[in-house]
Amino acid sequence: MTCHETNDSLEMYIVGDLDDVAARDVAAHLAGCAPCRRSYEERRVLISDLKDTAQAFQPTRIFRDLPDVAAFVERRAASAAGAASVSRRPAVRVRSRWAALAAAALAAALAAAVAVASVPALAEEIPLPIGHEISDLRDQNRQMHQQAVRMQEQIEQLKTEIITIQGQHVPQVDTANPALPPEVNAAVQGVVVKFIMAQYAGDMAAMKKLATPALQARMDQRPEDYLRDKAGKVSFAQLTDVRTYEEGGVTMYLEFVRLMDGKLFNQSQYQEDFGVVQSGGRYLVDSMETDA
Amino acid sequence: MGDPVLVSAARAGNDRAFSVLVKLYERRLYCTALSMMGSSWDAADAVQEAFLEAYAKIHTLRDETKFRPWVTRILVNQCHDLQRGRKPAVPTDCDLMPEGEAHVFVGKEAGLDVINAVRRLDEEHRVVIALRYFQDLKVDEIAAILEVPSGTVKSRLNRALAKLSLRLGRSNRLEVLE
Repeated sequence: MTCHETNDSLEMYIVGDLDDVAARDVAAHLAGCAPCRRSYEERRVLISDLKDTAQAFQPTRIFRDLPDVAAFVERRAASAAGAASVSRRPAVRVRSRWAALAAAALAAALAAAVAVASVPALAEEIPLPIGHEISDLRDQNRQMHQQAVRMQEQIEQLKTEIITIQGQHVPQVDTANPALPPEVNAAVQGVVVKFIMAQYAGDMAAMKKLATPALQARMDQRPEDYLRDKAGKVSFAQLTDVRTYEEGGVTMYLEFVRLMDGKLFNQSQYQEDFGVVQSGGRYLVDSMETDA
Repeated sequence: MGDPVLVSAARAGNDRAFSVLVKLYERRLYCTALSMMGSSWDAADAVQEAFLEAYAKIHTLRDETKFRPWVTRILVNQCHDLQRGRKPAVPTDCDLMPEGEAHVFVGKEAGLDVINAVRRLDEEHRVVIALRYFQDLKVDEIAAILEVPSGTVKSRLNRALAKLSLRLGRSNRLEVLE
């Protein structure tokens, strides 16, 4: 298995969706390839944090506004009666049943322990396995919590250094992974900085020279999305180092730049996210999105 | 998971079983809605509507092992319906704050950064992230909900993870290694 194939399978491997044979192939490759092991570890941490986030927000208002819920169910019940079969449950019964449900959910929302405390009562109506399942869920939550603590300890401190690109002194965020060759990094950042300077010069022709045909077409359609205040001055606050990923057989170079011009987003910094591709020995901007 | 047992009971008219399903899924669904809607209040509305619809239609769910993708599809449709009916509110317009939202934040501080980073992705990327990691769905299940090929889901996931790594300032190596 090559590094490329491993990289393609990494997400499925981490999530546990590969079959045994494929998982063994990935594991074997990781065992002998330090760069891929680092990729694996980094992506595993990110995915773990994302999964932790799924449980991080306890909604407070769902089902609490009982008059609204009742009105909604009443409308639905009326609609069901008119349409004959939206719900096979009798309309009147839906409302009373829903009110009981809403009250139960409200009680559950008020005390996290309610669902667990209800298990003995539920066991009267539902076969026992539910108790095991809730117990399993609690174990999973505990493991996720422990994992989150470990992940928190592994967050790396970013290093910032001042570099000079196209005459601009810009702090660069070094994300500390094995970097692209310095000349590639500098070339991509150089194209991006030139593009931004052209944006603030109001020079659409210069911007187009730095853009792929696809981006040129988008710029023609919505020039206001790309041109900045012609008389404005822009400060470069930060550049990331360049990251790549593969899309449809094409390597895309990602570069995020934080800027401040005193206009967009008021006095705050804002961000432009660039996708750059290599074409005919040159690097060309293929996408530019404005971000807060 | 206990879904099949609970779903069977709920389908048979056991409201308490449905209330446990609500309890099991409300955080995941709410987090998914947070990544799709402009505000936490809109997200809460979407989840509430989704549960109402699920309650009314649970008798139509034939395979009790498929509750999660089924209710997720309902939520995604509710989010789209609510977005169509309101002034467009793109999640990137505002970060979620520690207080004053339609939820209590019970996770680690990093969780707030993570959800705000997800909300700043463009729609096609934040949806696949939400369905994959907040809803724990398989790639094929996501493909079915979004009506796109599985390969498209995979490539969107890889691109979204690359963007998230950068936005969160994480060290990563998502580039192709040759």
